[in-house]
Amino acid sequence: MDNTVTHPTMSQAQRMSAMTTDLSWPLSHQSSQDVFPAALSEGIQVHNWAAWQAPLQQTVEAYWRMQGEKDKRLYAITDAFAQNNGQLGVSDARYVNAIKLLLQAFPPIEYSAHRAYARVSRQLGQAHVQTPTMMMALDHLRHQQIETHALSHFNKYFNGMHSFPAWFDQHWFLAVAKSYADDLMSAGPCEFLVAMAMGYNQIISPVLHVPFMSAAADNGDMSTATAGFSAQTDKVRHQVSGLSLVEFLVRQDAANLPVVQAWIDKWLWRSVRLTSLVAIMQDYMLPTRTQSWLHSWTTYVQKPLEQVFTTWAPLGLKLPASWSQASEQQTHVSHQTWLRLCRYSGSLPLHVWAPHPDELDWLSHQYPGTFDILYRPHLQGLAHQIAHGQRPGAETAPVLCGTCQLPVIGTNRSEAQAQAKSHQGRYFCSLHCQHIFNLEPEKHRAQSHWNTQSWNPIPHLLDADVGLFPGSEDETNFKEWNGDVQQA
Amino acid sequence: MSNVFIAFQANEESRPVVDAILADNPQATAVYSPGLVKIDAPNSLVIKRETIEEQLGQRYDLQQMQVNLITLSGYIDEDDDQFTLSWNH
Repeated sequence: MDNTVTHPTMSQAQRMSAMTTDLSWPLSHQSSQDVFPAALSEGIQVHNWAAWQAPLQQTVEAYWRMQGEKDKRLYAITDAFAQNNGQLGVSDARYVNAIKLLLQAFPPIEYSAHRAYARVSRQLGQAHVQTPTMMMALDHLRHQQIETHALSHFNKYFNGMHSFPAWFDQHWFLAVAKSYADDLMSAGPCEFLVAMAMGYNQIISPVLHVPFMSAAADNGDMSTATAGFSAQTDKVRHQVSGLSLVEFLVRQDAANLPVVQAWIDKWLWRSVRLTSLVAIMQDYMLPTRTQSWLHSWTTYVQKPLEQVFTTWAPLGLKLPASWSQASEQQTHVSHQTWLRLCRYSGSLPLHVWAPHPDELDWLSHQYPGTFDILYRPHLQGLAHQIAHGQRPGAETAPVLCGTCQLPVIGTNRSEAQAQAKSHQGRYFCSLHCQHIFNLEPEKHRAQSHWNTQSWNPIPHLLDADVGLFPGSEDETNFKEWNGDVQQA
Repeated sequence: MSNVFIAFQANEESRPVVDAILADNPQATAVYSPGLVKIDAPNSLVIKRETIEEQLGQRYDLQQMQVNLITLSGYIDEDDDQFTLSWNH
């Protein structure tokens, strides 16, 4: 253990005050309003930032020491993985598609969060918020870097990773992640903090960086798993300070409650939609399975978040109206999203396939009462098509939701109602996304327009090895490397 | 009744912490999945510096936990000697 523990002369609380907040000073020649105009731009009233006491806070000295220690541990493992040809030991080459999707969608969001935290740290201009947000800015830069480093070894051997930043900007399939990042980046400072607190840190990170990373370890990928866990050791600090911030904002002024509630309503739904990607990673892209997406969602998102809102009832904060639908759709989301991607496999930056019969049985066991009736027949049909040499995938793009940018699937009532109300050629996946669009139509119209305009022709954007996994270069190579040439 | 939980990377450094938690919280249960250990407890869970030091045989700073701490559910009450998770707020 590298950390030498000495007798502290000051308590943790005293150290925090002496070495962070107490180093700040009040402005003497300019008004706070002139120096930090953005702090007042959203109608949020904060009378005393010093009253925000976030848990797990660190002094700058402790922060650097701890982050250095985390990186040393992580890089020992990623180096060992690369030196030992770890790519040969993953459960099956299909697994690599889960981390292709991870790399394509999430490190770019981490980078956006890094930039946004740095901006917010400057904009709010209070030592009590500057210190933690500056650390969070550095944390998110670290997450983007370590996840990219951990996965870079796979890029030497598999297709579908080399141009992920360009795809993030330009591919229809990743517009769900890009629109989320853009929405975060263009939010005001307090909306951004609430969005990260309630959306990214309560909904996305707990499923992406905990059960999925454990599953990555189970599939033989210690490189990605350790990077994900290492990132999550920072995020746990973000998680708890985020909740305390939301509570703090609401307690500071009665006028803040409706503003904060509206942000929570928006960002919980946006984040739930983005987790559709994690849902398919967990239910469809892991050859060795540990727990279902539904189980992860219930354990790491639904129950903890519902408990938080129970304790927040006296403050007047409520779970959004969309929450019951959000929870209900988790029984369906992975299957619907996977089937939709298979339909458009010809233009995806990764491979898709029909699950093996034993995997269908596993899914049936995890989703009793729905999977066999609603989804198994479609997946069996898909397997039949592939077995008979038919390509199920079109090389076009589907209709995307005007807000969340996920393909419009059309299987629930809210979606049908939203579509019935759609106008000017714009469609929505749900009434909740339509509501979010209508709150800031100009912003979403601009983002949506930008996304559509920026799409390059798909063949230009991608290498040839896309579409179906059976017969792909990745599959053939992996078999050959593992001495399984005859079957290749 | 509501559960709290805390999860660590499963490694040699978090082992004495997990052992200390299980010793101090008889109601707590540890669930191991690859790379990860998650401890669930009804209502609340306490982590004591002194117990970890007994397990380790050396001094321990509770902030060191953050190197391996992955996620938790519940509100934190912390000082130099003790770290408590609960929904009391």
